[in-house]
Amino acid sequence: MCRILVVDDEEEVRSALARRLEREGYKVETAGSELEGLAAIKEADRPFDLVVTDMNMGDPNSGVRILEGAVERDVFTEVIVLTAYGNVSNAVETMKRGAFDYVEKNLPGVDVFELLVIKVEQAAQRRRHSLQMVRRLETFGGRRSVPS
Amino acid sequence: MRDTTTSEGPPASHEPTELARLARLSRAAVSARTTAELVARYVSEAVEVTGATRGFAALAEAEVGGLVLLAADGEGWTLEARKRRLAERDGSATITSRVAITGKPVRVGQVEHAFPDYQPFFPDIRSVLAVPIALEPDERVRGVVNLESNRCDAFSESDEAFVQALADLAALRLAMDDLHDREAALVQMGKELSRTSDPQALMHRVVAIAQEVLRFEESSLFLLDPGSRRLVLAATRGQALSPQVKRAAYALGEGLTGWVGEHGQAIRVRDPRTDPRHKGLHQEISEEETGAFLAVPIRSSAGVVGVLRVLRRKSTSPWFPNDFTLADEEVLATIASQVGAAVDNAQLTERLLQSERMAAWGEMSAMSSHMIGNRVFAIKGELNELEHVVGRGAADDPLKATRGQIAPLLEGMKRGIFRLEELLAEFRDFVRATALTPTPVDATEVTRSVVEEIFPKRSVVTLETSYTEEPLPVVADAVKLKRALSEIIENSVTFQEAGGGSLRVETRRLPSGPPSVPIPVQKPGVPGWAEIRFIDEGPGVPVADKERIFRPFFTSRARGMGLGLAIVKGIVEAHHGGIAETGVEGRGACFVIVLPLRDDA
Repeated sequence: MCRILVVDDEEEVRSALARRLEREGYKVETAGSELEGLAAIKEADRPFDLVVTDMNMGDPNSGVRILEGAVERDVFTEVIVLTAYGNVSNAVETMKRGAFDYVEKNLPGVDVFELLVIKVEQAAQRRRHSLQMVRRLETFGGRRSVPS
Repeated sequence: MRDTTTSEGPPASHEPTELARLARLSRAAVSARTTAELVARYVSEAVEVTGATRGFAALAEAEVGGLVLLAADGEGWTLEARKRRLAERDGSATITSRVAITGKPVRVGQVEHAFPDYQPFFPDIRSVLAVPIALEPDERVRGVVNLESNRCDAFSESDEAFVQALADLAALRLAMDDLHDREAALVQMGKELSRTSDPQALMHRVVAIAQEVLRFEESSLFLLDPGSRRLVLAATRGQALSPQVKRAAYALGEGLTGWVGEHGQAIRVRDPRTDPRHKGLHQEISEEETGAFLAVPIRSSAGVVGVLRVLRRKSTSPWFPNDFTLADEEVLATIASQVGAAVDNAQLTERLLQSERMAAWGEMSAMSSHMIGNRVFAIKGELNELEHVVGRGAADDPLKATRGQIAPLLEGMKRGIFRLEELLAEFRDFVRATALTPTPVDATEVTRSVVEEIFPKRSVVTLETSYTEEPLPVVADAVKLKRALSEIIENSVTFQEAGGGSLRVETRRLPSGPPSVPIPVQKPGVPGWAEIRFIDEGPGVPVADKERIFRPFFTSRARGMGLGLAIVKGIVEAHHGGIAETGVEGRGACFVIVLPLRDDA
């Protein structure tokens, strides 16, 4: 089952995200701050498949550090960053650093929860492909280096 | 002194008694209590010395638009005669009005020959001596001294010289009175301008003083709006214009007022309609009635910031022009320069007050959109879930969802929207903190009523109050001040709710001089201070945070944006007061607010 970590400093936002993703059948854990998020990434038994993180949690670069932490733990963990509406430069920065995509929280006239579900599904797919590719390469090379 | 070409020759007499009389009369010009008293005495003396049958003096009054009988002496003056003597408005045929128009004296020995169409007011008149009261040949005649006799050739050249000397002395006294009035007006205005901190009240005082003390009939003040570059009516005494305050406006260069604003030069005209620049947009009195128009620019360090203009009604007498004089223009220019300085002052104060807040604006907009955005995002999450739970289907399909599924979602949305409203209210309060509608109130009374309204009826926190019995009159926006005080009370109760404690509220009066806390935007001449203290037994504030708690977005509570104490500080400082936290961490907080007492306190 695909495991997702949701990081956001607002309780209502966290629970809304978790509830929606759980409806899709994902297993969701939550963290309420940058520190909690980084700790969860580091301490999880297995790396998360996906991380959905808020960009600004008291610090405008919280999301970037969560991204770095996630990729450090597992280079194939897909990260989706939630940003303020209209903050494109911030979002582009995370994409450059390897985020899967970004979702603007307050995109006018759009049900962003549905949009997020689509992006999460695409990210999960990419993660699966990446892992399959790695496995094929490993089979080819005869050794394992990536955690299952 | 006047050029008296028709009256050269020796004065009335060189005898010691005559000299003594002249000396006494000169002295009277300075020592007489009022001008009316002085003129009455001069008329009696003139009648006595010249042997006239009767005499009178009339003065030009701008308000009346003609001559007003000030003093009369000699035979035939009934109450009725006094009343009627100058009542006929078209007085161009009378000798008095001839003197008033030309500024030249008239001395005739056979009046019916000199002026064939002369219609004597008193039937016995044979000789007339009338001299103008005026200081300089080109100045408006201030009045006329008129002597009449029932004898032919009754008045000599030396009589004329004597009466003219008296008229000149009266003119000097009148000029002195004018100067005195103007000086008093300027001093009064100077005092008020430096004392009044409310710009609107100040502008109204300016036009009131310009009108009342300087006897301009209508006066209006226009200030340049920096945004639209238009001169907007700030204050007026004109009945017709007063509903237009803050509405009526001239573009720079538009009409006479706009021209003054654009060129920074005064305009002084008799009939504004004759001036090609005239447009007649906003009028205190109708053009037909306007007898004189004067407008001067108001300059501050930034250039022209407004226009001050005054008007006089048209005189009802055709010979009596109501023109503004150069002296009027100079006085108005002096007033305008004081207003300019006051505008500079007010803007400086405003800038000081705003600069700190403006610095927070960038952060402010980012923070508020972030916080509001998050709330909306969460509400959208509840909506998304509600849609899912309710499910799609035909309108008359029975609902499969249970109340247990729907209720928490509705509850969540409701909570989210309430929080959103709290944020918006906080944001609004912060933005509006410095926009005050001040009225005279008593600081203790405001404090007492806030404590009664806000402090919870049942609380683990005990309340103590200690209010001074001395009055604490301040000029404050009571609603905003209450908002500020209630924030502090609510904070104190919240922080002590868990462990219990106490809140002590005190008011007292402090003498003038430096108050107990720093005042960032201090106004001059504060007669004393109202101090309000809130002392509690909560956790207190660490030394490092004593200043920071007043900054926007500093919060140790989960709710709101953290603007609470920034709003309080904004409100207090907009009142030219100050706030500080002086408690000891671990022992309790102590918030001290000081407000300047009212000037007349």
